[in-house]
Amino acid sequence: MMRLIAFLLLLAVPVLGVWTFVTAADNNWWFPPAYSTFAPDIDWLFDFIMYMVAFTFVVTEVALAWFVLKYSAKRHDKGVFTHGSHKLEMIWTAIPAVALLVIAFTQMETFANIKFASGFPTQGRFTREKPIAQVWASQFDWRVRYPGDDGVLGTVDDLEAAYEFVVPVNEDVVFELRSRDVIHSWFVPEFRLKQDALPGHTIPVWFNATKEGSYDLVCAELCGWGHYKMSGRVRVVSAQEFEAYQADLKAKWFSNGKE
Amino acid sequence: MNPVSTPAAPVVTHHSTGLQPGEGAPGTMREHHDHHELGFLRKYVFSVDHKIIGLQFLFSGLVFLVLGGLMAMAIRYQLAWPWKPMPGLSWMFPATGGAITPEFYTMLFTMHGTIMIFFVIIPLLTGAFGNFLIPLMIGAPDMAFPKLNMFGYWAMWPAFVLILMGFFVEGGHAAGGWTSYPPLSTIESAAPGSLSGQTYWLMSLTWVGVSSMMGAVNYVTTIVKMRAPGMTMMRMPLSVWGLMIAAFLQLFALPVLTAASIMQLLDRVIDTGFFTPTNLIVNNLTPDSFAHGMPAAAAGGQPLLWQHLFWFYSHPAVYILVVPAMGFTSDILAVHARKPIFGYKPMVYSMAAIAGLGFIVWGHHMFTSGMNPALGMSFMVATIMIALPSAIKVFNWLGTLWGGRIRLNSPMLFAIGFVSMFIIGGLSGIWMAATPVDIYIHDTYIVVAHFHYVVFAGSMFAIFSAIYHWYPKMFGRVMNETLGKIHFVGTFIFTNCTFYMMHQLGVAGLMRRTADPYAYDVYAHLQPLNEFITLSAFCMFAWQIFFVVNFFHSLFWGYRVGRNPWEANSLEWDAPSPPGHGNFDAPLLVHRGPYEYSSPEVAEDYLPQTRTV
Amino acid sequence: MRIRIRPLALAGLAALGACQLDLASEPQTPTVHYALSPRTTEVDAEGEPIVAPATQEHIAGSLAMLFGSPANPRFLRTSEWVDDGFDPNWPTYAVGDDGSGEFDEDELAALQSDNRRDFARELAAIEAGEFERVRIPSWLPDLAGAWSAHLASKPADQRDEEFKTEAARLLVEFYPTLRDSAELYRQQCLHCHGTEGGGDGPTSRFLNPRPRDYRRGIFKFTAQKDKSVPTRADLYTILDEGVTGTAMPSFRRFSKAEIHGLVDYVRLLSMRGMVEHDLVTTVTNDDVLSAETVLESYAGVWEKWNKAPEKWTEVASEVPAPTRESIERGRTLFMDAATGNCFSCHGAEGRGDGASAFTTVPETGEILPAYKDDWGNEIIPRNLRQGIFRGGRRPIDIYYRVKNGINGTPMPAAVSSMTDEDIWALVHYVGALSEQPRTRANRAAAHGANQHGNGQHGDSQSGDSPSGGGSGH
Repeated sequence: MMRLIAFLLLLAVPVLGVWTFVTAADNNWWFPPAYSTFAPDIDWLFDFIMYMVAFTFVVTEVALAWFVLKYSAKRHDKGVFTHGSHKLEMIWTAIPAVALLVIAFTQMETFANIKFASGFPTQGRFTREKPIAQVWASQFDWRVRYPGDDGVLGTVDDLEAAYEFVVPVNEDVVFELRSRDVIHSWFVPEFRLKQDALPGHTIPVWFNATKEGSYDLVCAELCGWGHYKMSGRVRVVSAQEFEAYQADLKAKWFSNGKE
Repeated sequence: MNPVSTPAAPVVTHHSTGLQPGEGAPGTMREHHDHHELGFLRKYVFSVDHKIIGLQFLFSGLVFLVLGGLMAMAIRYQLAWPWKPMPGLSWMFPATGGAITPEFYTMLFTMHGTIMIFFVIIPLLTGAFGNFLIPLMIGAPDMAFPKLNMFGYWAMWPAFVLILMGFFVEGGHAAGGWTSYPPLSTIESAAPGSLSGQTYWLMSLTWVGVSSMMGAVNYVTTIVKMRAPGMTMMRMPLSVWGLMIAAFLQLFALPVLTAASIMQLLDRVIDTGFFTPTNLIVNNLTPDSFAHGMPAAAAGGQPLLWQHLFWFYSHPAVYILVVPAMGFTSDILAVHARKPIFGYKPMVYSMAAIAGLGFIVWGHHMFTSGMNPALGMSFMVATIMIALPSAIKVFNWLGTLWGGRIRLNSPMLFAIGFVSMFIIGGLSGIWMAATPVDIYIHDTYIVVAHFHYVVFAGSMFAIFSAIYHWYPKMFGRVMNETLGKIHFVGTFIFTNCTFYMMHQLGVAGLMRRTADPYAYDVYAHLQPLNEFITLSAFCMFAWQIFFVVNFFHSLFWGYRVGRNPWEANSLEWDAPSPPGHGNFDAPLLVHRGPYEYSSPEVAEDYLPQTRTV
Repeated sequence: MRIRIRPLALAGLAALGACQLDLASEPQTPTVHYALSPRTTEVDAEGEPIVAPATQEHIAGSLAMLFGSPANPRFLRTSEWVDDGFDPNWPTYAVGDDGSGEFDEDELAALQSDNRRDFARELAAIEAGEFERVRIPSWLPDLAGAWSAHLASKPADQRDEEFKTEAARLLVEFYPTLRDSAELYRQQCLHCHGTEGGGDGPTSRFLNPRPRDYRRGIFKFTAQKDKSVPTRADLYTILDEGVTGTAMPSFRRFSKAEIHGLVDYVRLLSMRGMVEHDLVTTVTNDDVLSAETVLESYAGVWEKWNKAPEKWTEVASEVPAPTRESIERGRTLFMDAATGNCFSCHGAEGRGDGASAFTTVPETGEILPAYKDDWGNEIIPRNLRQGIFRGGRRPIDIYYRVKNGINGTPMPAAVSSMTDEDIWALVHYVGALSEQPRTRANRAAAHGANQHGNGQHGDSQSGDSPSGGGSGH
């Protein structure tokens, strides 16, 4: 009886485990949509690892459940007397080693593209030298400083916006991430992009959003009691709307209080 | 030559449990007690006997397990029903009508992590079972340094007192996460828990470090110097190997944590600024120019330095949490599958490899931290390669079960549960290791799922398994099988319901440590799933009542058993149950390794290490 | 032996099952109650209450009559208002049954379009006819009630297009009731600002500056002159943008309607506090509190809030651009003891360390803030070089601060002899203090120093930051 229960429990792990992942998208427990240029790459790498892992997972878990059912104390007088097999050890060392190295090396290009200095855009309006904005994190909000008319950050004509970071669509965007107090983390699930904001450092970040819309920007590093309410938004707009937004921001910045 | 382990009459074995009827244990006890009698205090409180010290670690660990578990339940409650009155805690929050406050939530998860790691799993694995098993398994009368061993346990008491005192200070206990990243943890105004709770936290952890250090020195010395004649290194049970490797990890990694926490303590107390950069403005204060109205030293420190130092300890620490558990599982699987362990040497080498690689992978906690991304590449390769020795171990465990005569009793069920759960925890680790994927899943619930699969469904299952398995040796009685099986079935189901679904939360991008995620559009739809997880977690917690009842019930009314109820080979089963002072009542000579089950040399399906053939 | 355990195990299972059934239903929303302010319940040196307990009860009763309770907040409709057909309760007051509310058509359209964004998932579900997938947020109990009433109005098989349209209209035209807003306030604001809006929630102990106490009707960052109560726009801006440099974050993740609802509720709490303050100051020595006194105070407070728009600071001119001359002139005014006199508190370099803002304890030599704000907290002048301006960093925001002073603090309004031009000059100077004008070249130099981590520039770590200039000058 216990053997059957144990077998079913152990078998349920791979069966329900795989079923959960297969139906996850229908249940809405899956990735948010991928709206940056490298987001599909990250999803692909996730899936790639997932398939390799799922294979190992199912094989080992089913074997475990099967052994528990099959090798009962009642059916044999004694167990098989073996201390192992050198050949088998070699096989199950070599094959996973190769698989793991394959996994490791397939990751590298995407990571280099996202985080390495060499991966940063050099063409276009926004580069490391000429970022679109500086994003400031502090307990517990996000503030964005655009360079204003002179195109240089840290001058009197900088424009500041609370909460919302507006960027043009389909364009490489580089911004500088800074923190005023503790460590925060800039995370937009739809872009699959996360970068900690380190106090005392200016960290350049780039992305290229592929769909217009407004996306939750969340803080992904514990930053104090208000961590959960440290929210922001990244609004992706067309190039014209971006210009219009900048003009609006400027008008609002230099308004005399009348609408 | 060895009268103890040779049965005088054919042994009748109960098939499903493998339990032998008692051998008249009272008689075996008496013969060790004639040399000297100790008072109650010397015998049970300030004892230098490794077994009593082991039990002291066991009981204090289980008490803290309840505390940490209750905190987990509070966390889950908040995540399922944010800002609703918290049952049992609502009297603390009259101003909010009983709902907890966000700073209390940050304290809860910080202390849940701290207590579970430093006061439950590490003390249970290395403190309780390390102490209890090492001398018995290698055939030593006691630890190499019994007084140091006692001091190792009593050094935990300042830690217990400090960690509990921290809850009652202004601002509550530490609330910077169990990782306590500065500047959040070093600057008083940054978080309520950083007012003074963090200081208690740091002092407490330093004492835990002192205790672990003394334990580790003792374990290594004992294993190297005090093995019984004939017990070569390669004849040691894998539990001993696991514990020794964990002790080495502690020896090499703990000094770094101790140094780092003292640096953080100095940052907090005398404003040294190791981890505090210049020009911060925290809660309207500039800590580097004015602290408490007093001009402080200019800062210019590095928050990343703490992360490097902390993870240099804490990554090996997660192997301290799992390597002994792997050892216990290997032993228990072999005993109850009645088979030699499959590939003993690869098992030893893979444990050593996990530990060795464990020292060069700490950077995988920091892929998005602002560390030089080029470092991420080498950390990624090293981390992914840790999956290799882990895979070898899993295959060898499967190999051990293959062709065995599996007795599905409570220790075996939990050991098999460990293997099943460790596969999940190990495989999901590959996602964490892969740098680009980690950019997305870092600090999401996938991470939470991963480490709970390793530490709860892994290490904690192994601890349950070890308690069921060695309980007869500890108390001379066996735990109730029916309750044990009920305990396993419920725990296994609800553990999976709780932690498996967290993978889905993580894939959906839900961050950890968030008191109320549902006001975000991107997370609003996850509340029903969180409710399910919370209900599963409640069930899992409540289900442990079967363990508690069983544990205490069996202490007084369990079956009495003899020396070797499981018909196992390793040396501890040569000693009386429970072993008296000095452990063994006859000189030992070890003839073979501990895994000669189903050997064709003898009629029985086991062949103890000391028996001559 | 074995059988002995089974009943135990079964009993355990049954108990567990019972526990789980109990937990499976969603827990109740906690109830909180309005308490009287410390000013009302104050005791004298002998421990005797200054206001007679009977009067205190009377005040509490009157306030409950006027403003309801946190579970059911509402404004009392006086008999005149009933005659006039005026309902001061939101959403009627804000939106109006017939377009007669506070919002004009454009504003209503903006609210609705934001509702469409906020409820996009729900509207899509309604469109698809999957009504069970509609999730009303936990902080909108009245909307949830309306939604279930709507669902109950027709059985599942008779839901037609009209039903759908009506369902969508509930969400698109949503504007929170005071009860909705009180629940959102409880979830998001209460732990800092307290149930009564006294700025004394459990988290407030750890915050610097302390959260705002609404009960006096004093709000610091407004565009209002003569210490008037704020307009809806002032409060909305604070909720929308947050107060930089404090723990007050932006709440824009909630919809426009929800934020307006919070403004409504803050106004209710503020009015309640003001009436309480009124009553307690008029009846201290008088045990009788007549209904007329209460209603008079109620009407007076309403009048103040109704008249708030008239106290808005109108700026006639456009915002002038800073010039070298205007900054220089601002500096002169800043240092001029007769007109600006800013340096006396903010310090000659604008670091908030002016002599008159601090006192020295003679015995210990300890330096303490000299001033307290209207809530009794010690207050120090702003360090103008940090680039943190709580009321906003825009020129017009700083203009309001200079022109009107900061309500509730020692920061005074500009003296009448100062012209608009003077004030703008000061604004330019203050802007220049926090923002060192930089050329591309020296910015690059600062950046380089930052990259190589050497300490040649005193402020290399924050060379181009708003908080720059904090050291090394």
